[in-house]
Amino acid sequence: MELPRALEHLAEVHGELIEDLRAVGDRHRPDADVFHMTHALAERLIPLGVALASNAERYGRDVQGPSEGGAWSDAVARVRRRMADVAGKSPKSGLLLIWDLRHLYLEAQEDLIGWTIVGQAAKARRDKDLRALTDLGYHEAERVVKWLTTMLKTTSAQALTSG
Amino acid sequence: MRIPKTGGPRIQDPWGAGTPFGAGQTWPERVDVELHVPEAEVDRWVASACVLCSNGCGMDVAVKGNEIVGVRGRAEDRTNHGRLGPKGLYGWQANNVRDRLTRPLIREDGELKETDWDRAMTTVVERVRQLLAEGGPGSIGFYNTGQLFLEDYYALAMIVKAGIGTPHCDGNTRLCTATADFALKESFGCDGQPGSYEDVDHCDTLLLIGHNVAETQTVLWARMLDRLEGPNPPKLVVIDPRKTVPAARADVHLAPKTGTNVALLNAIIRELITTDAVDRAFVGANTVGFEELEATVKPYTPEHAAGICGIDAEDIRAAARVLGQARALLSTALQGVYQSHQATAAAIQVNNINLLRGMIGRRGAGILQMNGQPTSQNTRETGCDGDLTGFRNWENEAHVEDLARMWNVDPDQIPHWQPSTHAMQIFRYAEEGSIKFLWIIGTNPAVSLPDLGRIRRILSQQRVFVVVQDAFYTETAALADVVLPGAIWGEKTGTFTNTDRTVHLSEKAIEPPGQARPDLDIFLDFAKRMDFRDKDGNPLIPFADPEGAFKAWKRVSKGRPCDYSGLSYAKLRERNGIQWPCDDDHPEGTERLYTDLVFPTDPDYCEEYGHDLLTGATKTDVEYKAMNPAGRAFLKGAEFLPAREMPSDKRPFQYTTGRNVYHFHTRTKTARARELHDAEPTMWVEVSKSDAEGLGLADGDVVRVESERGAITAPVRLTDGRPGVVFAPFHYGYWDVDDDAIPDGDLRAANELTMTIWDPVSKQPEFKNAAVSVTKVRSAEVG
Repeated sequence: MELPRALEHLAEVHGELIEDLRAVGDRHRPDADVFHMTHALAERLIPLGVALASNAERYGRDVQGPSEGGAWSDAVARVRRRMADVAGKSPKSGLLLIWDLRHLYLEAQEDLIGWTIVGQAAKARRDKDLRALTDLGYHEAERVVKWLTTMLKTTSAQALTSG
Repeated sequence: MRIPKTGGPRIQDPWGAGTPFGAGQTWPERVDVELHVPEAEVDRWVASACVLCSNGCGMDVAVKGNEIVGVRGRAEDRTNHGRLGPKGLYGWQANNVRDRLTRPLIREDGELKETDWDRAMTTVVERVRQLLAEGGPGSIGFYNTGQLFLEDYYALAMIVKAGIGTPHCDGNTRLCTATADFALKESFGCDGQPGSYEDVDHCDTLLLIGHNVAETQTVLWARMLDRLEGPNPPKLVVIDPRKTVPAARADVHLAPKTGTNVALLNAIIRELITTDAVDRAFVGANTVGFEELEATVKPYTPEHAAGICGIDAEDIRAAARVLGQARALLSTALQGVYQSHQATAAAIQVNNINLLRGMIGRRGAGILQMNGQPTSQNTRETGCDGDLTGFRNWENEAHVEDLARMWNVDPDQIPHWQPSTHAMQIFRYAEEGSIKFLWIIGTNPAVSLPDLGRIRRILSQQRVFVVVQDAFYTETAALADVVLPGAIWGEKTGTFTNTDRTVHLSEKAIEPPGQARPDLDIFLDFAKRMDFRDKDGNPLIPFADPEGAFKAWKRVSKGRPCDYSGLSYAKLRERNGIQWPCDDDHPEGTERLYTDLVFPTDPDYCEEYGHDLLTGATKTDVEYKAMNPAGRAFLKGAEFLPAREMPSDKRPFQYTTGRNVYHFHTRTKTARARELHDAEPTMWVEVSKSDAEGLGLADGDVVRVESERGAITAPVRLTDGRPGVVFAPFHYGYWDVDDDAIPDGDLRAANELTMTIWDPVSKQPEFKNAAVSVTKVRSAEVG
């Protein structure tokens, strides 16, 4: 059975999405909506990552849950924010923003399809707990995708034609 | 609120003598007059309405020579039945002051110097042309207001959308009424106030949420007060963290922590459902989304919400009981809802309460998602707030084509690849330097936007050319490259529309001072100099005066929910104060919307397709159509999320800002009327008595309030308000304490401390939450 491996992969993808949401948010602090929404979304995704880790454990996989941060990553976040305050004064910062949002969008899509794949297996295994989790995960990943789509639609024209 | 011991009758009694009346009776007339010459010396009375809040009280303006000498409320006006509030009675004196802007100014060698109109306009036009050639329309932004007239806005909307073709245009309505607009669109498919002020006369229950009506709309409160003191008074439920005047009168007062409205309203809705107070037949026939809403509110037991909101669960049940027993419920909401982090989500729950109870579209049963400013409704209608003109849907190609046909331009000229850029994003683009030209009209962002240090830095940049069009030398004007002196209310003719869709004609009473010009004239001059053309090479703007603009607007609004086609200046001269829609079928206007319970949610007719309430992600037409609204209203739920900035050990207090009864906005007018100025001449902050003990504060001590953004220094007033909350009025800036109108020394403006953050759907900034510390600077001056 390959489900454990798929679970492991999803946990990895999901954890990366959380970390990159935070990183992109910090890197674009002057864009206040990006900064606050990326962190808010990351917070919503963390419990899903924790639940994913415990489900993976049921299938015999030792999967790392989402990173809780720490002194090292806090220091990096602080530097990112300070650099952003400087970089955010350039008309070119819009280009950097859409590049980063585009990257997040692809990660969120990978998360979304990961929940779909694992969800299908959960249905076949009649694993009700995992199925409920994948429904929730799908829903939240879809929310992230839609937010990123909206953000890219509203910021691209300015970044590419007026920066 | 504090009532001064002197200052004249209406200062000491802002609502005036009571005229109690019972349910279903007509609100008695009471004509308020303020006249500074004997009546016989008045040359003429000129019809108008008040522009110092969103109520739009009908008034006549007394003129002697070329000076306004007084005002009188119009007894026959549906809005006020003759009454005027303190600002209406005294505020007109600002027209007559000496320190008006009377000549254009231009920056030379770092200083603003007087110039003539031709040079000022030539400079503006040259800069716009140069930027259009270099960077395209995206380098040009407009930030307007809720203070102009309909005709001004309509001309501006054409210039922005069809002339220049930039998506960067918003009003300061983003700070005051954007959430009302978006909540109405989410629930009913389109903007448009469902209720009427006459619902106050008929209701048996009043729900005020985050709406300190006694200070924000004094005459509306007078009407409510008269009901409360008359026979068979309505029950009053007030939700407000502060012990306001309405809260003190309430049958049930809930004082939740700021930023917890969604949790509280979810619990009330849950109670309505579990106690079977829902009008199932109404909900089944006229709404979609009940099951999802029910599931969303399910976790919000009164106990759960009480924990989040810091109130008693029994009080939540008591409020729900009153609302559940109402037979005619009028609900109103304002900034306590709109300037919070889940603004739109909370405002929609107010709509939901009325929808669940079937309280809409009939006498006494209505919703007033209040406006803040006198003409913000027109900012919304014309699209100067970023909406598409005439409540059209920017994502509906047919709507864009329809508008383009009327303007005779290519549909692609009208920016509709994205929603118009909201105010906070316009300033962000100016901060990063991709917007290089910012035209600011009738608003004072250097005092009214959040995080003022940042706003001053943005406006002071060399690379951003700032044009300020105003009547006074504001803090923002002091940062401009060109200042254009505008004529104000009383000095120009035009129409405007109040909260409950009442359209007034305001006639020119006097000549503007010096070289000040009406805003419409300034816009038309700009359009002419820019030589904007339509598809056939004719001038883009086909009108040359206010009445011409109004006629053009009638045509553009026809068939849309805000239909003005049945109105005319002649009709308004006969009967001032008519509610839209006013068309062939409703020649006398429309008292309340949705009496037929058909909501404008049809996909081909609606103003927008809606958003995800948590993130603001836009929904597509496909998603919208899948909900199959078919003329039914939407019930939309949202889970509660905590605010992004919460009190900490370092900054243990929650900071909130708001209005005072004697002042409006940044006091450009109210501080220039002696009675209003003297009533509250200077800045203060409010701290609860219980917090004062721990801080060692006595009333009048000077404190320093500090957030992550900045610090202000002001005397403190101790109140009975909620512990942990610090309140500051947002009116006080620097123009009357500093020659340069920019701070040099102690800061005092409330928005030095507020945060750059906004509601994800309406993009309205969160003025009502910041974490702050409070420290004593010195004791009250004795003597």
